[in-house]
Amino acid sequence: MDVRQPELAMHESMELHELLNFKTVCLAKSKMMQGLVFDQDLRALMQKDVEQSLQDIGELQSLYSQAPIQ
Amino acid sequence: MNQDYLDPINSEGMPDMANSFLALDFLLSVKTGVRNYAFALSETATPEVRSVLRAQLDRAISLHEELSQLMIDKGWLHPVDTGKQYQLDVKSAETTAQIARMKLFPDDTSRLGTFATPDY
Repeated sequence: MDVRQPELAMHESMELHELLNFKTVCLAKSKMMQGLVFDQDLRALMQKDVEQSLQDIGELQSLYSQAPIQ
Repeated sequence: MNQDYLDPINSEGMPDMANSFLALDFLLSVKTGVRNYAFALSETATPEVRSVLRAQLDRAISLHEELSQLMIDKGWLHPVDTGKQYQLDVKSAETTAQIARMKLFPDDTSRLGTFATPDY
């Protein structure tokens, strides 16, 4: 099924690019820093951020796939 | 604090220092995230993008609330007691500066030959 997705605006694509990269770095950090943290409550919150970020990145990726820059 | 980073005396209070330092780093990231989402949201032109970013901004704001409350409860953040916050700021800046002046790593950190990267 070849339904053409509506394309995003150029500047919108740039914002998505910035957000996607930001979230990616945050995800990696929250995942890694869990190994350095002693406090288990803080660790649980970092894990929550990891799960939230995975979902956010998935949503951003599907929007970004409509960017007119490919 | 002496220059010997293996001296156990330097590990006194270390777990709590590490916790509050990492929590602060996490808090700064979350705050930056909220700002980034708000900026991006004000540049949107497509309804679908707007609704996705808005939902993610809401979640980021909730995470900020949860994290700042946790830091207040643990005594790593004192938004109301400026005197305490000032003490904490000075102490952590001083300790971090002391650690930063130490020689922590060997001069050559390339570690070539320790990984399976023959073509590097």
